[in-house]
This record gives sequence, C-alpha cells and structure tokens, in this order.
Amino acid sequence: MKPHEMNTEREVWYRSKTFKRFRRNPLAVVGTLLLLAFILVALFAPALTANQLASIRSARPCLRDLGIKRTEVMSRLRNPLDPIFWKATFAPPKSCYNIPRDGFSPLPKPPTLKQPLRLQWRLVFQTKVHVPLGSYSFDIPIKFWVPKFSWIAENWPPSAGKHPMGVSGDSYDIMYGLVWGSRTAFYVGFLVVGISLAIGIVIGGLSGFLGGAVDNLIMRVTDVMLSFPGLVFVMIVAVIFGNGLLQVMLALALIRWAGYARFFRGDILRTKSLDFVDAARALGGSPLRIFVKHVFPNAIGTLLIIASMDIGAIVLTAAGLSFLGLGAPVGYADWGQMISFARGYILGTAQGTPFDFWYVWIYPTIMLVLFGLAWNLLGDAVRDALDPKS
Amino acid sequence: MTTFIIRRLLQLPLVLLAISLLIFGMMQALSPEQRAATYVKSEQQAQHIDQIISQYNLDKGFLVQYSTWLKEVLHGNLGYSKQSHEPVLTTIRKRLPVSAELALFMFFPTLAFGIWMGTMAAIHRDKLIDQFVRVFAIVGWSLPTFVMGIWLLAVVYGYFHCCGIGRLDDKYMVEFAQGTLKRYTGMMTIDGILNGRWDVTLSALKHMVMPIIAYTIVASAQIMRVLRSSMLDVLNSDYVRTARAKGLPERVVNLKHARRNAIIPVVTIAGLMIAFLLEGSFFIEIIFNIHGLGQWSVPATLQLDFPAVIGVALLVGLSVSIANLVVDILYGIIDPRISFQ
Repeated sequence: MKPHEMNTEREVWYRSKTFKRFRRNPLAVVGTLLLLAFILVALFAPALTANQLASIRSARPCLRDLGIKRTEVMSRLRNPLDPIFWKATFAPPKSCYNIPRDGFSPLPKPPTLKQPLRLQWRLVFQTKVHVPLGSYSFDIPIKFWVPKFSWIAENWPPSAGKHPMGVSGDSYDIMYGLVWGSRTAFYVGFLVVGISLAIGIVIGGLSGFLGGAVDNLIMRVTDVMLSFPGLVFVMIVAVIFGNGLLQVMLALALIRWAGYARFFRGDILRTKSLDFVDAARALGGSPLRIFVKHVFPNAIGTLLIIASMDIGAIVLTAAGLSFLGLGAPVGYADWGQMISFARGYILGTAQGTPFDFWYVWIYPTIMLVLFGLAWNLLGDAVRDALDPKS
Repeated sequence: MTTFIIRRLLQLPLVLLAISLLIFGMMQALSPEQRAATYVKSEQQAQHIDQIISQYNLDKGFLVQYSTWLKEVLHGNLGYSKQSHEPVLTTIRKRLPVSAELALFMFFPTLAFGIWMGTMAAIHRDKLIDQFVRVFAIVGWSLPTFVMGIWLLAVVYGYFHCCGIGRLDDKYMVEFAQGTLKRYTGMMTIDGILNGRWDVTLSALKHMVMPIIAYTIVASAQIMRVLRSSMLDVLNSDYVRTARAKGLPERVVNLKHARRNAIIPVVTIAGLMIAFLLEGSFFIEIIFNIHGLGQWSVPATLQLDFPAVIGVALLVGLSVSIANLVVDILYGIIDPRISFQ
C-alpha cells in the first residue's frame, strides 16, 4: 500500500471511540462543566474577591505582598491589562490565603447581598368595601401597588456589599474563604496525587521490572501500607511531626502510593506479556531498553488517568481531616477548616433555632460536595469509557 | 483450605510486626524524653523521666529499644494519656465497646440497604428505581460522612427535635452514674437488656438513628454501584438464560442464581468496609458527641497526647489485620471456586 492510499485520517484522541463514549454521557458533560466552573473560580480568585480585599482592613498583608494600595484594588485587580492582575492570578503571595476578618465579633453575621432585582412595591391606592350581611358585616380591603423602579435605579449597578455570603464566627468572610478555598482544594488534590503517583510509579515500576524476590518484598510492603488505616496514619504524623496542611498532605501521599504501585505493577506485567514486547526481545533489545521504550510508555496511560480522577476523593478526605482539626489552621482558606469552625453554630443560638446561622455551614458543605461530585461524575464517565466491555 | 487458613494465620503476626515497626520507627523522630511518656503508668511516675529513660533503654540502639517497647506493649502498658488522665489501656477498655457497638449498628443496615437497592436496580434496569439508584450512588459517593452528619444534625435534631445526640437520654445517664443501672459490657443496648430495662435499650437505639442514617447513605452507595454492575453481567450470562428457560420463577432466578454469583465483589467491598469501620465511626462520634475512641483520640492528637494516638493506632491496625484475615477466609466459604493459592 502506498502512502497516499493509506487511511489519511490520523488517529487523534478526540476522534477515538473512548472519547466519543465519554462525550455522549450526559453525566460526564455535567461533571466537566462543574469542574470547569471550579477551575475558573479558583483561577480568578483575586478578581472575584477584590471587593473584600479592598474593604476589609485585615486583608492588608495580602495587598502589601502584592504591592498595591487599598484604593487601587478595585481598579487594578479586575483589569486584565494590568500586570498585577496576572501576578495575583498566577502567583499570589501566601498571605492571601488567610481569610480576612472584619472585626472580632464571635457571632456570625448574615449575608449583605443587595438584591436589585427584587422589586419593591409602592402602594398607590387603598380602600375598603363594606359588605353588610344581615346582622354580620365585614370589610374587603382593596389595595393597588405599582413597582418601585426608582429603587432599582438607586441600587444599580448591583453591588454585593462587603460580605455577600456573610461572615462566620470571629468575623471571617465566608465568600473569601470559599473562593480561595477552591484554590487550596486543587492544590491539595494535585500535590497529593502528584507525590503519591511519583512514589507509586517508581516503586511499582521497580517491582514490575525486576520481578522475583524484590517484587515479592515490595508487594508485602504495599500489603502492609494498604491495610494501614489512613486517618490513624495522619493522626500519628500530626502528633509526631506537628499539625499542618503540609504534614497532612505528605501523610496522605505516603499512605496512598501503595495502591498506585500495585496498579502500575499489574499493568506492567500485562504489557510485558503482549506480542510487541516479544517482538522487541526477538530483535535483541536489552531488558532495560525494552522496559523504557516499550513497556513503560504503554503501561502508564491508564494509571495516570485513574490517579487523576482520585483528586476529588483526596480533597474530600483532606477536608474531613481538616474538619477534625488536622490540617489547615483556623482562618486559612480551606473548606474543611471552615466547616470545622462552623460546627459550633450548626444548632443555632437557642433551642429551636437551627437555621439561625445557615450561611456558616451550608455554603462550605455545598461547595465541598459539588467539588467531589464534579470529579466523581467525571471519573465515573472516564472509567466507563475506558471499560472495553461497554 | 485448612492449610490456607493456617498459612494466613501465620501471616498475621508478621503484618502486625510490620505495623508496629512502622509506628515505632516514626516515633524515633521524637526525643527520648518525649517518648518516655509512652511508658509511664501514672502522673507521679512522670516526675522521674531519667529513670524511665534508663529503665526502658530509651538511650540505647533501635532494636534494643524496639524489643523493650514491644514487651511493654504486649504486657498491656501503652503509656499514660493526659487527655483522659488515666492509662491508655484503661481508656481503650472503656471506649472500645462504644465504638464497636456503633460500628456494628452502622455496618448491617448499610450492607442490607446496599444489597437490596443494588439488586433492585439491576433487575429493573433503566426503570425509575435504577435511575434513582444511579443518582443516589454517585451523590452518596461524593458526600463525606461528616457533611451528611452535619446536615442530619441540623435538620433532624435541630429542626425536628428528634433522635437525640450522645448515647442515651440524660435521665438514663444519671442512673448509670448513680449506679442504679450497672455497666456490664459498655454497650448500652446490651446493658439495657442485662439490666432488664427495655426503655434503656430503646433510648440507646433511638440515639443511634442519626449515625446509622448518615453512615448508610454514604457507605451503601459503593455497594450499590458494585452489586448493580456485577449483577448486570451475571444476568446476561448463559446459565441465567437456562434457568429462565427451564421455567424457574423469576424471583428464584434473580435471587438464587444471579445474586449468589454477583455478590462476590460485594464481599470485597464489605471486607474493606469492616476494616475501616472503626475509623469511619470517628467522624460520627465527633459530630454526634458519642464517647467512643474517636471522640477521645482526635482531640488527643490536637493536644499532642501521643501515647493515646499510638495506642489507638495499634488497636486499629490490629482490628484491620484481623478483619482482612476473616474476609480472606470468608471468600472461600462463599465461592468454593476460589482456590487458595
């Protein structure tokens, strides 16, 4: 067959059957869109919270590290032509991850969101019709309202106010925490997956490549790691090496690599038994060359996809640990920490007022669940698409 | 079969040894003075740290230290917890029944609900119940236990004033404190029966409604997913068609022929669930204020009370290893085809 007779359609990923199966799954589309929304929120966190940065005094360290003045915040942090916008988007200083607090009041305050589209009505006409009914009589009130357009005009453009989602106990701004918390979520997810994947690939690769006694030993070690409960491991790490987000992330990575190592070893063994590896061996390739050139690249794809879909689960786990108090300190932009901090306000101030401070715990829990849902919808669809049986 | 069980039993001490080595190895990051806390039996003893360091070889090599420590642990000396102001083993003895009771009461409804819904979804494929199960499974999968617990706490307890938190109604707790009710096992449901007081048992059950619901919704999702997909595979197989063709009732085909074979992956999941049940109940205990292991050891972590944490870690490691062993043996009983190689 000459080159021009060959099928000219190149094999590209977006034409593959796997991707088609993925695209046709409505849940996958929902998951992708949700995730995209989270990525956008995380990426443009500084612009989204410019209002808080400008109006809350305790955001000053963040502004100082960014090198802008409070008066310039609104104009510069929302202007894509300004280099500060890109600096804040891609390399914000660490101090920006601390939720600014507006005062020291221990009680949460409700959202200050103005609702310009909620019409106010002006009563223009009012009268009563008297209806006599024998010995009994009653009045029918008749009222006539018109919408108060001047009210819209006064409140246009809609301004969110200082705290669109309220402040939690000790006056931490909730919206700031949620928006910057999505950054923390991605950060935790990618870092934990990255570290555990790196360890898993090296150890699983060694195990699959060397085989024999080394393989056996490594598999016994992974047995122990897999049967070691994650929460307790994190507790030990926190109590010995100190309590912080970094320690918790490292602990999670150190407990999760075993699963990846096992998975990767299995894929390597499967790939090793395929015909093209035999062909390469027949051509006289050295074991190392065959492994690096043929086995490794063919075995790693599935692992990378499966592992990246674990980010959601990891973020949920990390949030759970933060909820217990293991991880980010109070005031750090992290959903789990916010839920933990909201714990004292769930049941309200007095008996029978459970939803007094709804905004303190509903917003962070919803964000967390939606984040997990986005990844799980995506992961489910990816696994379905990769499954040759479907 | 017998040889497999014996071999598997022989593996258990090795795994436990590895876990204890891991924990002890991590403890080496602390100074000998700090580690001395894991050997102390009372607060008075903590006055003489130097004596303890020399007594338990804390200034010697790793292996000497490790063997000394292991001997102490095997004799039941896990150190002194400053969180509970008593030796770690005493606290564990008090709190383990609470956590175990909670875990048992959470496990069975979860398993039953998951298997029931999973079977229904597979039998009525693409019907309303199937769609419901699919949505339920994926939402439950992304819903952490603690979030579900918080929502239940706000709505069921806060709004409807139903199913209290803690373990018992206050008046029964007072009776336990005064001694009119005796603690036999530490599990309130059983203690109620042993005391001949059904109202105590009922109160204990009432207080477990919210934990059970919170855990069931979250944990049964995975069982449903797995059972549904494996059951769909089995329902398409030849022997099920044969069973239908020879005129067996649909119910017998579905439950006796199909589900029996589809349930094996569920055993794996359930085994993992048992293994991590103790850990999963930590969140529940903290949210619903149940005085179990988690409600003690998590604050202990934050107070840097590491004898408590090490003790709980050893206990949970032990329970996980035993659960894994039991599940491995159960495999063979459920499916004789699995060879023990």
